Amino acid sequence: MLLLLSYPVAAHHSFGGTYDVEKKITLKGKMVQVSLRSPHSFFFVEVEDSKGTTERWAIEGAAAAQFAQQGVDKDVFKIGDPVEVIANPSRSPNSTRARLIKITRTTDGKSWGGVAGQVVD
Amino acid sequence: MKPLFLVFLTAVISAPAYAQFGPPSPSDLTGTWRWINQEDERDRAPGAYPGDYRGLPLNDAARMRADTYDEEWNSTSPLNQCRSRRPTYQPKALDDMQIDKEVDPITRRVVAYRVSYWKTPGERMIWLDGREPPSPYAKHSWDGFSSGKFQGDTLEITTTHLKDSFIRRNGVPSSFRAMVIEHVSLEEPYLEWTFTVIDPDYLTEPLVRSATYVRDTVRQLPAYPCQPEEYQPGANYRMPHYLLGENPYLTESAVKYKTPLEAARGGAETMYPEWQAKGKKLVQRHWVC
Repeated sequence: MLLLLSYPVAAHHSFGGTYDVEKKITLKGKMVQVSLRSPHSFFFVEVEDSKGTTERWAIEGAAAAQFAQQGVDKDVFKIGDPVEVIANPSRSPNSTRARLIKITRTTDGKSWGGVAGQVVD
Repeated sequence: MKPLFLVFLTAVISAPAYAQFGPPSPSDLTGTWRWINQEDERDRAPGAYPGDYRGLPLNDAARMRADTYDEEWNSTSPLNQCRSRRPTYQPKALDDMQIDKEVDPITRRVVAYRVSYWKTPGERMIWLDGREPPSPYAKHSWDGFSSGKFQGDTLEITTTHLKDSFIRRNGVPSSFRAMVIEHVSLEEPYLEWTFTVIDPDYLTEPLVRSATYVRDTVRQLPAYPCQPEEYQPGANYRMPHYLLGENPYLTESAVKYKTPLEAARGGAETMYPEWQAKGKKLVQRHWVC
């Protein structure tokens, strides 16, 4: 039996307008800044493209209070951590912003997202 | 004579008590109220599709501004990230709400309702003491100036002095000349909130919408210390937008909802039942995003 759970979601701005929520991208890089705040937190990740150029991506995440309730505080993801991010890309062409779906530290598998309730809203 | 005397005595005894406390109070709207998340879910949760103007009596000026709008602006501008939502949209937002009373400490009369929202900074005051509105030239604000008056059990709120804002989260604007008239009715445990936006600059007719809240007897709204994302080192300053004719997403909602594009473009005419016959005659096209 498929059990569908309904979670009340809340967005300060329109995610559907900012990001293409029907597309996913995967980024691999190094965490360079963690900003836990309201209305939304940000992970900044440096990603090297195929030409060797480094791009700084802004990954928009949940509000700090939601992250805290779900085990993500300032001591969880640290500067320099190698991470893999699955995210919805921006609708704006050439933008290096994305909406977080799942983040995983590749050294130990510590992750947030991809399970019930762990949704950026 | 004796029964008549008793009736007279009862009336005399009870009258002072009634006079002392005044007439029966209208509905008490205080408390915490939850929004109902299955109501207008698309509009409330992820937000309306870009270019979806269905059900809005907007004019060409509003349509042009919305066509050039890029929602990313809202999440990148430090000025916008923590601005509160305005009465032109707030009941359609996905905010739980708390209503408190402001009471005059001397007379104990209710001076105002103070309304706070879950994910919106600040508080909105709805003045119930009959105070005069400020001058038309007074400073405008996100929440504007709201005065309320009970009409029977329904609270009627009139709001003016608003800043330029929006009526849908895909960039459909409202102007600083907009006025909002709200009617709030309590039918326990539900609070029905009808709001009408009258905007001489962007709407050709009043826009009437409603939202339902349900009483939450155990919840207290958490603090909402909003702090905008600061400027990022090395990032180029930019204002996300689309030039006229260059927004590639404007046909998206027509495709998703399988409606003629003319319907998605909105306007008062498309809101009336008579337009359905016209809409059916329009050739269904396969829009390419």
